[in-house]
Amino acid sequence: MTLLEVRGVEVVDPSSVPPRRVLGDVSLRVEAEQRLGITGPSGAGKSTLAFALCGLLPVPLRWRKGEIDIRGVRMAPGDSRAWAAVRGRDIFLLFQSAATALHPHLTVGRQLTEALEEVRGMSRTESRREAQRRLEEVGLPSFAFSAYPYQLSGGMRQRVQIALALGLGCRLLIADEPTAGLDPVVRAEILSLLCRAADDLRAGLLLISHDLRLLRGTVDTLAVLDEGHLVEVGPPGRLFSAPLAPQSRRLVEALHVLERQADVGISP
Amino acid sequence: MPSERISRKMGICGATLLAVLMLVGVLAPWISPHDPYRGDLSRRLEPPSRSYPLGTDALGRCVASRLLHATGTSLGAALAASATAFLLGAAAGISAALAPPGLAALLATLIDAALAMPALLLAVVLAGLMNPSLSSTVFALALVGWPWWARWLRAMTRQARRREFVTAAEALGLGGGRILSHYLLPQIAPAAAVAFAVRTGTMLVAVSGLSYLGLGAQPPQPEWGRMLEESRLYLGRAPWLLIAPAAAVSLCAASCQMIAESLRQRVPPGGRRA
Amino acid sequence: MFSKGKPMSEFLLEVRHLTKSYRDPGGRGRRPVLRGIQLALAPGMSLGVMGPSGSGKSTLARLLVGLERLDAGEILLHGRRIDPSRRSDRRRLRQAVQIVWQDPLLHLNPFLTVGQALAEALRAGGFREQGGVEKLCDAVQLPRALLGRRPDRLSGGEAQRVVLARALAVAPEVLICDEALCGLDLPVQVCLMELLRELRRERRMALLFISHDFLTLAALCEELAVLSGGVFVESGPPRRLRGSPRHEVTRSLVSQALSTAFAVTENHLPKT
Repeated sequence: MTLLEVRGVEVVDPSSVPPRRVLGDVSLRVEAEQRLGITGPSGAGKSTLAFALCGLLPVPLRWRKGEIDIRGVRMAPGDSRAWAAVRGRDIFLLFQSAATALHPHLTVGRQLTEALEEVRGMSRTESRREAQRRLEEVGLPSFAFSAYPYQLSGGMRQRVQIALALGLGCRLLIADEPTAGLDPVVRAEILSLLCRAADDLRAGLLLISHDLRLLRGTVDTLAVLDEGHLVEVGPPGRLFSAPLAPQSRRLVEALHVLERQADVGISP
Repeated sequence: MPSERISRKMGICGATLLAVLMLVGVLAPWISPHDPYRGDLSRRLEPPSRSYPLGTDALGRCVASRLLHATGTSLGAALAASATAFLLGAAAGISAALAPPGLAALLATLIDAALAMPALLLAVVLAGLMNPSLSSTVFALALVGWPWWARWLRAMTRQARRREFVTAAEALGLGGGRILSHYLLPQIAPAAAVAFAVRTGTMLVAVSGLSYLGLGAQPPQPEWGRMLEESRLYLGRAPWLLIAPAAAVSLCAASCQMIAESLRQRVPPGGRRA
Repeated sequence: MFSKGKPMSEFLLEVRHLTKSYRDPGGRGRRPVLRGIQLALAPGMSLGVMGPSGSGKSTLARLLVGLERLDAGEILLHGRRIDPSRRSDRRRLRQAVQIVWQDPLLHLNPFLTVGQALAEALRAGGFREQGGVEKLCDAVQLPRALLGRRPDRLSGGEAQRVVLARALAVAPEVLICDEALCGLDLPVQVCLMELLRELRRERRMALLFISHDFLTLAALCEELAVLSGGVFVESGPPRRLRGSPRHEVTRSLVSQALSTAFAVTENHLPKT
């Protein structure tokens, strides 16, 4: 089933002179149980794309052209009510920094419970039980339920976000640099947890990262974004062995240089 | 954005008003219709007329001339008090933020102790202890005004110092003076300008207030607070005596507020950020 | 001061039995961050410090540039002990040891242009001749056209070159990089690594590279030390740590870095 279909989306920044195209003619599809990775250099428009797909473009950016269908429903750019109805139900945005995604003055348990009540219409006790179960499922200790976000580490906060996505039963997870600022061991844990959550939900996963190494073993389709344009889309195996676009070639070659210098990987 | 445009207009409006008032203060001797000190006892408490645009007071002096002459006095006193308080506060507050721990704690305690005293009451006492005059009012207000600035600037400096690029400058081995002038002050300056405009407005009201109580400007010197006090006895018969100086004080305080508000809109909290 | 200018020790920078603890927030106890740290850097040497978050890596870097006071132990520069409470010693340390952090945009003064920032750094290093700023630009391969810009108009890679140039302005003998490449695009990282290698070769500068990424460290450093819980748990050349890691932390950090590297199978190799 097609969860997300994007056709020719263009986003402009009218505040810059002359108006700058942040995203130009982006088209992509995410099917259920598909893992699509999007990479590209900084400033390519990766985060803008993530926000555009949730109807959360930051001011002053404008969605000018193109269509976004979420589970077959055409989304209108200005219809904030329709977008709000989709967010947290069909799509879930996992933020770059979980510290800002969670409310700083409410306990984790309360935030989860309220979200579940609101979105899934559960009773207070039901949603409490569900929240506790999900927190346990993502490997958080029991004190996390009554903890405030600042009392948790970066990795634990990302786990909270994943627990929320699981609890809400979202069908499309959009993760924008979900492991930024985490050390490699925690990064790997969060990444595998995210993939497992997507599998459990039979959901599509859109993983956005500038880190090719992270995407390589994770996604089944890889797209390269450069200056707002998708320059190449393909299976990672092919992209890493024979990149077609010069921009993806540059990225892939840099990785191979690093590996050669580190004397690991398979030197050609 | 509309609110931005309004705030910009308001700022220009406030600044123009204040500039005009300052100009008036300077030019008062030339633009006044009459001598502010000489009264004509045969023309006491006359309502506004062509020759006396704002009427006359109990001694038959021209209210308009007195108001114009008072502008420089009141505004000058408020600015002087505000600036002195700011400079004293900056010295104490910035040293309290940057001094070695022991000295910093001592200064912080001193500031807090000074801040714990009721400011206006203290000003009244101080001004009362000295010979009542405008300069003693300015001195008293500066003396009670500095602790607020000290605490505020201490907090701002400490916050500014925590930014990464300041640490980087320390690691580079830049001197303390250079870090203060090129790293800390630019971060603090925009917010300080806002606060200064607000504080000057309140200082103006305080100067007039103390003069009203008889502690500031002495007769026959024209001063807005003084004029308000002199109008008290004739409120029923000659309301123009009250309205003119009251409007002047309000206008002046309001223009300070307008400047402050417009500055606040233009400066994002926490200063410029990369 | 008979030994002035003449190194008494073969090492540039030496750290002995260094210990540092922080006051526990809220509590009354002190939490040790670093315990019994020993290291030595010779001119032109590159040492990597690898460790997970919270292992004390950044604290170590801050101590070495004199931004923190140590509780116990000593730092020696050219064999002479540095007393961080003395101003002249701090100045000596800063002339000799410079640091580059991650997030370069946060570490540049937003009120100064690139040119002003570099000129200021040159003055701090006591260099006053003309053309110094341009020379620095060339040294880090930064286009001179950027000299008039403020940091808000620089990319991450450009900003990191500026930070690097600023550190080089005082002509340090040791450069500490605290996750200096983290968060930059991979092609930019590769370029900057080449630059660091060159600088080390040409200026005989010692490099202390702190990171949690084994791949970056292995590409840059001859010797790695693994920091965990505030102590060095093992050290050795990258090849040895990869082949026979002795400590659990080493094993997990190395295998994490390699698991992504070895995901490429042979038919994934680029056709160049």
